[in-house]
Amino acid sequence: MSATEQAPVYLDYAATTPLDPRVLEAMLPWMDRYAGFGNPASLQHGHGRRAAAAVEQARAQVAGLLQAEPAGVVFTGSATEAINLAVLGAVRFAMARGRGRHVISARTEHAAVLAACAQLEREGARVTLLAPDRGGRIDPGQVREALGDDTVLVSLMQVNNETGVCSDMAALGALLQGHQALLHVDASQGAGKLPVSIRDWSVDLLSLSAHKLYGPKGVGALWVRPRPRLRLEPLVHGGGQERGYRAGTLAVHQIVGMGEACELAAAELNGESRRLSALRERLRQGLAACGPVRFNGAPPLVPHILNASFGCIHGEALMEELGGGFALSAGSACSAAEGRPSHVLRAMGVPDALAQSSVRFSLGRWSDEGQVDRVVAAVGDAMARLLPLSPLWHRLQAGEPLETVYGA
Amino acid sequence: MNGSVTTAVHLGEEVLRRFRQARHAGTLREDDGYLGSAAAGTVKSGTVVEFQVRLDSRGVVRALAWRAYGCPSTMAACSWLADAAVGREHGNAAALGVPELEAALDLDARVRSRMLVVEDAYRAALAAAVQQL
Repeated sequence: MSATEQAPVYLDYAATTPLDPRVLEAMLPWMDRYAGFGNPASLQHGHGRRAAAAVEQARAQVAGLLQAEPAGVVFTGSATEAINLAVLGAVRFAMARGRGRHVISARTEHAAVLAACAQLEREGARVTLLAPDRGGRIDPGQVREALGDDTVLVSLMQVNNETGVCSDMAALGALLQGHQALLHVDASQGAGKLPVSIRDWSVDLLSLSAHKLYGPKGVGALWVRPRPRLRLEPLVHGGGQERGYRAGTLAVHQIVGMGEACELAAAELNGESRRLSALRERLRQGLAACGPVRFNGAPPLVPHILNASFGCIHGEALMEELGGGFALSAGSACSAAEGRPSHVLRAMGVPDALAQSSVRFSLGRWSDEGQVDRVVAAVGDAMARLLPLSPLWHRLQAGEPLETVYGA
Repeated sequence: MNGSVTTAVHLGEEVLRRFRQARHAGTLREDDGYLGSAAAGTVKSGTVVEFQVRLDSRGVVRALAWRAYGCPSTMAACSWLADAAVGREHGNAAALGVPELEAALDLDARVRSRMLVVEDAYRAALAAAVQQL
């Protein structure tokens, strides 16, 4: 893209975030040919010791964001790997020792959790996927009812990546006190936007991504309760790095980047959270005035995500009408001709056709009011052109409720 | 949005042109000519198409109008069909369908089921108009 072209407005921060220049600056020395390439396991010389110290500093920075002991931080290659290590590792370890084979999670979880649970089912585990209410919430009471003597893991996300709906992690943690089941929290979407407190939540396992909070791709972390030591069946075997949980030479530059990103996120959390909440509210009000719009997800919501379904127009038509001016995540993009709408919205009871007209707007560090106003204006223009062409819109104009039009 | 890898439906130049400059969208007045109306598709399937066709006394298509809840290819197909049918004798107009749409618009094969909805609505409206003759 040339300097004179206007870049698309990026509103897909929940998918990934740009690398913060401050993070890049922190990473660069660790890709240096002379001083920054050491293997942190090679403690016999200065190169290795410097790299090891950098990794330990990053471990402390990550732990700082989580309000947790640094010793619990295990670096992985991604949040997906961290989730797989938590879910597969915990349940396989328990099953191998006859401690139980039941897992509780939710239908609205990220594919990484759902796919790991499906794998466990193939290995003989029993998985309960809790259904959310129409607002996308899982009530801690549902977990209590599903708990059994053989439950070994409860895995729930702090913030839903599609709707921004938040779970009450403190209540879930309290609920599991005294039960053998471990609590795993996928905090990929909430960390850096909302407070995370392993101490207050009584969490055993917590997974985290760097690239969702302005760090590099290719690195994630799993916090594993260090005391009393929690045992997991590792996924990767080798040199015993990361306390034996995850073998493989550590990617120092990536880890340093993740540490820096976490430290910045922690320092800026309160102000950024307020700023993003105000922007999201501006966006919500603007979109609500565009036509038959339904917002998916009940409060409390994370500050940076807004999920909206645009009634009476097809999602692909809306996205095409918006053109290349905006980077957004659309329900129609997931389904296209395959007819598979978002599993999250479907679990919440949103009709498939309406789910396909849903768009996730996610804001971030470089979002501003001007960008929000631009997307609101573009959506307004798109709906003004497409609605009169839609037979559904004319039914709505004739007094039929949107829910009836969609057969909900 | 759900973290899975997906591929988008291909939209050719003609589809995009027809989608952005859709012709014959709307409804026809019911007070002259031989008018047939029909709809096809379901909201649940993601495609609903309504067509109106007006014939003159010789059975020639004089006007068409459509409304659609659907993807860009669906709207482009409605627009193209309406353009292509005007001026044709009804028997000849009834021959227009999915093969002609696919040839004219370079459609992604994955939207064929949607094109069948367009064809159903169009042909049913034409048949309804013929019955008025």
